[in-house]
Order: sequence, then C-alpha cells, then structure tokens
Amino acid sequence: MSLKDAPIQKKVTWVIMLTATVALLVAFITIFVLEVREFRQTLKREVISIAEIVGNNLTAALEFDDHNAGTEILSALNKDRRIESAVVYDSTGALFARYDNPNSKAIPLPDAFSALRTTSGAHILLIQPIQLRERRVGTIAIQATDPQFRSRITEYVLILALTLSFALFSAYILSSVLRRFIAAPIIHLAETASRISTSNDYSVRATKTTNDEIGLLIDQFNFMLDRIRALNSSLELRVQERTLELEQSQERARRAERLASIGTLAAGIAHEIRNPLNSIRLAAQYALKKPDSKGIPGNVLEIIESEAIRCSNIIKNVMLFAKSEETLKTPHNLVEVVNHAVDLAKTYSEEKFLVETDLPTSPVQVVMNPTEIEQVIVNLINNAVEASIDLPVITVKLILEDERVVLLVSDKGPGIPPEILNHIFDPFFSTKRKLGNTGLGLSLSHGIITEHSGTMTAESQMGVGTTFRIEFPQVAHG
Amino acid sequence: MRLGVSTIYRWGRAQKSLLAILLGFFVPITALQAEAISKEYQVKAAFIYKFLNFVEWQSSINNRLICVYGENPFGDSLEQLIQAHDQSSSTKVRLTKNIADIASCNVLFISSSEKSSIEWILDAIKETPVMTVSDVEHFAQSGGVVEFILQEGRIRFNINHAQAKRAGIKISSQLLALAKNVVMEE
Repeated sequence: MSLKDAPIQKKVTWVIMLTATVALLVAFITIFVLEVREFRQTLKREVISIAEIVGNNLTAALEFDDHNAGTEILSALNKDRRIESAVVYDSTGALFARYDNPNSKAIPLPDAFSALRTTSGAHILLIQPIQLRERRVGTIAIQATDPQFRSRITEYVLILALTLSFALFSAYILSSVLRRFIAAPIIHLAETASRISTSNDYSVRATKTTNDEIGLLIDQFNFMLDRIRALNSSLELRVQERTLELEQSQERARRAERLASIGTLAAGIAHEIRNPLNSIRLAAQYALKKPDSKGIPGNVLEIIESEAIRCSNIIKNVMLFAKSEETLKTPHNLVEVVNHAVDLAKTYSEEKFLVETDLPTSPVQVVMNPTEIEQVIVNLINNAVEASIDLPVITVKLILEDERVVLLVSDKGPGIPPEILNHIFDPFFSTKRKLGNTGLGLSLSHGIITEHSGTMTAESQMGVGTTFRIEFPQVAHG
Repeated sequence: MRLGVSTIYRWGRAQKSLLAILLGFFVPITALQAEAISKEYQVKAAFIYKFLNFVEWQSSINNRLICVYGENPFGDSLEQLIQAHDQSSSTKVRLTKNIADIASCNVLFISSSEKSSIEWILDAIKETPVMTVSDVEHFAQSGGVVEFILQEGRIRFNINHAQAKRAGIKISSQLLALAKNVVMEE
C-alpha cells in the first residue's frame, strides 16, 4: 500500500519518524564534518609544534652535515605513535635523515623533496622549513595520522545508530500521542459520516474537540447536516401536500369517469329497456283488445312477466354497477369461497353441468369481500355453462404462482373470436340476448377484481375453449 | 656542506652570489698558488664560521673577531665565508703571531705550527672568554675548547665543555650533541 492511501494515523507516524531521521542525519553529518576538520586541525597544530622543535634541534646537525646526529634526533619521534614518517632534506632538497614508524602501514615519504605529494583523508602532511638565523638550512616533512581516527569514526557511527533508533522509538511513541490530536477527530468525523450514510439518520452530530481546522470542518459538517435535515423535513411536507393534491385530483378523475360511465349507462339503459318495454306494451295492448280475460293466451302474460323481470334485472345490475363504494375486505380462505360459489352455481342453475375442481388442500388467504368474489365466480361459471354445447364441463383451478394466487375458470365451448375478446369486459356488451341477460356481468366482475387489487384476463382458442384468469396478491404468511 | 656544482643551481639568490664569489676565489688559488687550500681546511674554515651560530659569549657582542694564531692554513676561506653569508656583519678575521692580540679574540684558531706553545697560551687565556680551536691532538683534554678530529674521513670535533664554562662561553646543546667527545670535568 502506498503512503498516499495509508490511513492518517500511519501518515502522522511516518511524517514524524521521517522528520526525526532527517533532522538527526543532518545534525550528525554536520557534527561529523566539523569534527573531522577539527580533528585534522588539532593534529596539524600538534605536528607543527613537533616539527618546529625537531627542526630547531636539527639545525646544528644540518650545519655540520652530521647525518648520524640527524637520524638520532629524528628517531626521538618514535615516542609519538601518530607520526608515520618524517624526512629531513638539506638545503639542496636532498635526503639528510629520515625516520619511518615501523608500525605504520602508510607509504613512506620520498627521499627527494621534489617528489613530496600532499595527502588527504585521515593523513596529514606537514612541510616546514628549518631555519638558522633567518637562513634556510633544510626542510622537515612529517606525515602523521591519528590511530584513534578510525575507532572514533566507528564510535560515531555507533552513537548515530543508537541515537537514531532511540529517536525513532520516541517518535513512534510520540506519534501515537499526537494521533489523538490529529487523527482521532478526523476518524471520528469519518465514522460519523459513514454512520449517517448507512442509517440515514440526519440527527447524528459529530463532536467537536479542537478549535483548529478539523474543528472548523466538524462545525461545517454539522451545519450541513442541519441544512440537510431542514431540507428533508420541508421536502416531506411538500411530498405530503403533493400526495394529497394527487389523491384529490385522482378522486376527481374517478368521479368524472364514473359520470361518464353513468352517461354510457344511461344510454345503455335507454337502449336496453326500450325493447322489453316495447314487448310489454305490445303484449299489454294485445291483452286489452281481448277484454275477456279468458281469451288472453298465457304466453302473452309470460312475455310481460319475463320482459318486466328483465327490466328489473337491468335496473338492479345498473344500481350495483353505479354503487362503486368500497366494500369491507378482510382475509378469507379463497378455497372455501370457491367451493361455496360452485355449490351456489349448481343450486341455482337451470341447466345441468359438471364442475371439475382442482384446489389446494391447505387454506389460501386473500384479502377480499367474500360475497363479491362469490358473485364473480358464480357469474363466470354461469357464463361458461351458457357458452358450452351439449353437457357443459367446467374446470375451476386454484394455483399459487410466486407471490400470487391464480384462479382459472375454463370451459370447453367454441371459443371467443379475437375481435370480440377485446370487448367482453365492456358494459352492456353481450352476444346472447337471452332472457334476463344484461351484458353487465363480466364488466361488473372485472370491476370487483380490480377493486381487490387483482387482475382479470381472458384467453380463448377457437374450437378449444375459453379460460378466465384471476390473479390476487397473496396475504403474507404467518 | 656539499658544494657540488650540479646542486648549486637549486640555490637561492644568496647562494648564487656565494657561488660567484667562490668561483672568483677558486680561480686565483688554483691558478696562482702552488699549494692549493686543501679541502680539509675549507671544511674546517666553514666549521669555525658556523660555530658562531651555536656559541654565546657572556657579554653580548656584535663585533666578532676570529683570530688565526701562527701559520694560516685557511688562505682567504674565512673572509670569503663571512662576505658570502652576511655582508653587513662586522665579523672580522685577524691573522696574528702576537700573543698580546689574542685576549680580545672571540674565536682563536691555534695552528699546528704553534703546537709547542699551546700549553702556556691556553694557560694565559684560561679565564678569558676566548673559544680556542685547534686540530692539534688532545687539544680539548689539554684545556682547549674545540678540537678538530678526523673520523671515517669526515671532520668531527671534541668539546671541552668544562673549559668553555670556565671561560664564560655558552655552547649550544645542539653543538654539544654533535661533538664526538665532550669533556665535562677536568
């Protein structure tokens, strides 16, 4: 994971530790460079004084060209372990005497003055003229180093390593304390934000603990939360208002629709009632022409009765249709309702027919008005019986599909042509103007099912039969 | 001090003027004088001159006097050296046979020609601050201050430090360190 994506706690730790390391390294390098310079300068100062003393002692030996005496004087340098090599050149630059430290691994100084080369690093080379009464009688060259130099560097590196590790350890401890001041408020803010986004609870607030930029951020965050909350509540109020308006306009639309239906109904009633009324009038006129009541054929009165019944059925159904107020709905077992409807249909039907039922054994709960649903089923069975030829066989099937309850009522009749299938649910649409048929049955049934939040559809295949399909939302179990 | 011609060219200005003088000095000697100044006495002359730098007399004196008693084996060497090394110096050379002159000398070279009279000369100036120098054998032991000797073909010297102190002459420890033998007590 790159540092960029690391958590703030880690970043704080890294920054502190890095700063400590860099500061320490810079300090150490500076001290080290100064120390080495000081070390060299001290060594040089000391070697200069040695060279002056030895040089002064060598003047007579040089003057009287006594090589042995010169070598003897130089050999006194063996008491100083720092001196690696010392060479005295005479005034012509030729070798006069020399001393080489047997323990030194450094390259000895050359025998000729002209071959002298400067040295670097831990070694220093000092070239000092030897003078006698302002006359140069020779030159002394001393190469020296401090054997402690290497051990001192080792010591320095060791101290650096120890200090650095101690500093890093302290920085690490310190960073965990500093985290509380820097990272903790940010983490708290982040946690609050994620809690709000998961719970959608805009009443939660972050707690401000500092007065720095983070404190300002927390203040702004809380202020935004206030704004969101205010905005939310005003939004809810507006949604409520709009919903109410919508409901009202929907109610108005429904009423207008109902009025339109009533208009259609009125036209339908006028059309439907005119025929039976004509029949009644003609039958009544026929009866009036025959004052002898005995001479009135029976079928005339039957016509009057049946046409009057038809009229009253129309009126009754129209009233039922117009009365579209919501009925009380409670959960009921649909299996029971279907059985009851089948019995009812058998009892009141004038024709003989067979009903095959395929129903679940366990109860199927549906929120409904059982009387209305019974009426729908009876109506469907009656329709199916009417549509059938020979001995009608009606199938009533109840199945569960996903979360829906499906009721299928099928016949084996000739089927409904497709152009008619689209109009079967229209009010007053009927192909069988039999006695008492108003053409409102399917239309009413459709209305009832829709009122129950269900759907009602029809499928038909010519020569095979027709199936009506009713779907209800199932009541949640338990 | 080696004065090879090849090394002379490395010298400074002062040394170059010395070369010129030396050339001027050598030419007449070799050309005119049958008995050339031996190499040995040139070195001895240089030694005598150089002693001045390592010896201090009780009363600080500016005008040093180098005397040569008896036969002069140095020729003009001493004068040439003085002229070459410090022209402003007031160091002088006196050649003498007169015993009355010697008490005022700072350095007195007693030539081997005066070997027989060395004892009474030394006795006469025993308490006088005169640095006596000679190449006569046992000179230092006999009460002289500096005695030239020859060792492995090189000129060296013995010093009678006791006599020097008695005479009130302070000899540098460096010079003492170069002496072959140093007489401390009588």
